[in-house]
Amino acid sequence: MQSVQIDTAYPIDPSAAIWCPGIPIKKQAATQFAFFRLMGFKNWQQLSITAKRQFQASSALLQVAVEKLPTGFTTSQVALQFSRLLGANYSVGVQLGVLRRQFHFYHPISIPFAQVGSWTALSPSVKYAMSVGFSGREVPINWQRRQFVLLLRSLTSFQVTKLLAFNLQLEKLSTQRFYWQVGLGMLAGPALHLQFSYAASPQWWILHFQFPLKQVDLKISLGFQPMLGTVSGFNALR
Amino acid sequence: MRFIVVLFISFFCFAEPFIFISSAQQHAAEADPLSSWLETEDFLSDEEIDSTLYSVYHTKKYDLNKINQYQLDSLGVLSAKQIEHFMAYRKTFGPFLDVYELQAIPLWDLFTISRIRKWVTIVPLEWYKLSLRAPVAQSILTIRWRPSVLKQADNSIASWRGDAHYWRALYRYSSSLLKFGITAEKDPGEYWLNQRTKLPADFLSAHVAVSGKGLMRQLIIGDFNVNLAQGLIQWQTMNFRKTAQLSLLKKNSSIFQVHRSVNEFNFHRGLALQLQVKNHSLGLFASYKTLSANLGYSSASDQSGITSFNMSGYHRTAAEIKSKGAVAQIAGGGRYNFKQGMFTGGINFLLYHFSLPLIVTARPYDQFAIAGKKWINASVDLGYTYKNFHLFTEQATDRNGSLAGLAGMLLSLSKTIDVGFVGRFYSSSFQSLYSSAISEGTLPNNERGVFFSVNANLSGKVQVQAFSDYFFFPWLRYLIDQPSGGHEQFIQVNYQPDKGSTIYFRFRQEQKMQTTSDELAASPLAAALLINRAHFRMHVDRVVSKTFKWSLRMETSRVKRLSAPQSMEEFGFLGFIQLGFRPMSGKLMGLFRFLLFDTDGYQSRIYAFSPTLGGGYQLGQYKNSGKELLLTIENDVFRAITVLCSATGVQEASSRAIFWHYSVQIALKFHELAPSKIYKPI
Repeated sequence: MQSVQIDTAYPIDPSAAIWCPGIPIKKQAATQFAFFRLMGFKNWQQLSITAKRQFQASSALLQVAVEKLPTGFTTSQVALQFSRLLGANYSVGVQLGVLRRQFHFYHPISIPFAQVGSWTALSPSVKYAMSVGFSGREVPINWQRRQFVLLLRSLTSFQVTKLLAFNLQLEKLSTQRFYWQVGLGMLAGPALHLQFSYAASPQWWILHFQFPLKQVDLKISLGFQPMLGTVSGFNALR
Repeated sequence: MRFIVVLFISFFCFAEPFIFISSAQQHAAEADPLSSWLETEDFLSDEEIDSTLYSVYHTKKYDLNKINQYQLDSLGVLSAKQIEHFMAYRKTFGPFLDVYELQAIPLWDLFTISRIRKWVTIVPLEWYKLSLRAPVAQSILTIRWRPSVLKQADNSIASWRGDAHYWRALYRYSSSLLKFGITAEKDPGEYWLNQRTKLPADFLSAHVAVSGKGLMRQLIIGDFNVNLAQGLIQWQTMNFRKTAQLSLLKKNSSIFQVHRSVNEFNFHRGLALQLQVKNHSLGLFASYKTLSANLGYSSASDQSGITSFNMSGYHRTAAEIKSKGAVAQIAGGGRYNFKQGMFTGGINFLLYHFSLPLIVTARPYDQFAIAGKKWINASVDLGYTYKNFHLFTEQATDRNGSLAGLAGMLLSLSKTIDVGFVGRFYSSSFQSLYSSAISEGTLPNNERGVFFSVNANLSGKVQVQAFSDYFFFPWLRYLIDQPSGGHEQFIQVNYQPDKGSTIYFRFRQEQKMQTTSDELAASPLAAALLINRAHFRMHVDRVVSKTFKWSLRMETSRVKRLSAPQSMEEFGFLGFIQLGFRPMSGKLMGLFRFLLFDTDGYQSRIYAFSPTLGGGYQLGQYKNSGKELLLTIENDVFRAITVLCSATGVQEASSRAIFWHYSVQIALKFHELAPSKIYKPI
């Protein structure tokens, strides 16, 4: 299962659709390349490539992601997703994928996961998405336990003004504590979008500077996680 | 639509093999204001809430052209101003021709109409012309049966004398003049035959009620409930002790109601009569019934008698069976009410006589408890409306002369903002039976407090409801060996962009002093420590089409002991996704719900309603961790027969083991004499 991360509730970003299948992506065809690293914690890197194609009301999305921590483990993930628009205000999606984790000095573990999601425009200013998912358990607690993890996720977006949007993400994994994060998105100018997201536990904050260019949306990110340090990265969406 | 079905089928083929099948009545995700508010309350038992709601939800729909202001008020979702505009509109423009006409009434927005819609209808005038005295009548037999659970974590099941089947039968006849009903119920663990009466149910209840328009307004023979004023001395039907819903803040109910629920304790059995002459109204009742009670000896008073009542209604174990009918209670009382213009006033009194004396224990908090064979309560209530103000008060006393009182004010500041205020002073020695008023404690005694509430309709789409309550207990309470106090705050923001969509956020926080029985066992002088409880909830309802709707809820709780050194902190979570479907044929309705809960313990428990058969709800208490899958299906096999099936699979995962609970319920309903579109099943 994907780990809990910050910054997932933006409908123009394909990664948002990965978090909640069914969230529509405006672009008919989009390819995204993203790279993140921890500045204060050497050798942690995350790389992902996402491609989306739309055929009338149906969309297909493929994401390949790799997270590497040389002294610990390497995680790779492949997710394939199909979604369909049902009129102007509804969309549903299903996602299937496999996460493979390679620990040092230990055999690799493959964990299948699946997710069903739905998106709806409650009104022009309020959008809502939810998903239910499950995955295999990475490490069985004991023999009595079922080896799967359940997920319930909710994403709400409020367009407060034309220039300002507020996002709320609520999430529960059956093996982890309840997680919430809030975000603010602001159109600072025709060529600059600002996005700020914050989560209390685990504590995260991240600030994005997004520069829409002619062919590419370039997003530069700066974040902080108290236990790990500063996160930086970029992604390019075409 | 087919695509959605395929998606969900594909998902649940992969998912854990939960067992689910099942049933029920309720249109899937219909947002229900009363159940939503009730989830904020702490109730004694599931049965109580089930019974209470059952009595509310299974009443007939009101005809918009016949409903009066008290009936409108009793729905609990309308403000005084909205009721006033409703009555003025109907008086000015004549009978309603269509329910959609409600939109034309000032202050009646879509949000209000959608909440009230399920309780009102318009009976065609032809119905009244067709029949001379009883234009519409309904007769329904409902039978519910639930087989014994296959596996149960509760070890107390071993001490049950009867089997674990649940059985209930209700017969109801209702017309505009006459109501008649019989209720029979057997709880899990009880005998099929009542051991004392040899009748085929542990609990039997019946009533006949006649309504009139002249001097005699109501006559009830059998089981009935009594509601007096603001509940300081008597309130036996559903009640909100504290609510942000301003229309529910002041109680307003008819004095007598037939006892429809399966609550086995909170009712009277006998005769009730209500008379009215012009502005004067007089209600009198006399009752005799036996009560389940525990008997014992108190060294403090050197006396044998009643130590406590068994209010649960369960008679499963040897001790519970022994307590059944151990005491006889004779009760009588009444209410005189006067109305003149904007002024109302009433005098209420109650007399009780028990076959055995109630005895007090030596425990300090029990010092002011009711003692002896007799008890008396009396109260006076007043109400006055002046322009946008409504003032109300009730002052009560008991046999010992102890006093309790409350006074409140409802104020419409503007078309969009209403506020309410209630101050209460319940002396430590004041005692009453079957009472329920605005309070932090279960009964209105040993408490002082102020309650402030505001409802704001910021736009046609956004409503805010909030309250704040500060309370103080001057004397000791159960598990608290010292004077204590606390405060509570609540806010809810509703956003309803259209009649098919609702999203609301709710935050509730309470801080009060508390100890536990373990701590008191270790040290009788254990100091009460401040506990902070906070709940946050987000809930979304969405009607996708005529055949499909869904809702999602996420709720968290946090309980923290603020005082060092015994720090304690618990977190809880409950979330569910619910899908309702009704194929175009209309004969089949279904509800699917997947619920996930995860709390650190009992303190951080979270409540949520589960729809049950026949349109009712059952309050579920979710603690520790687990998941629940529910599928309910209702199918109108024939016009007169409705089959409802439900099954719930619950998996509770404790730290050491996993328990599975299964239950299946089947119900048959027979209805006749009136089309179901006009009257809901009783």
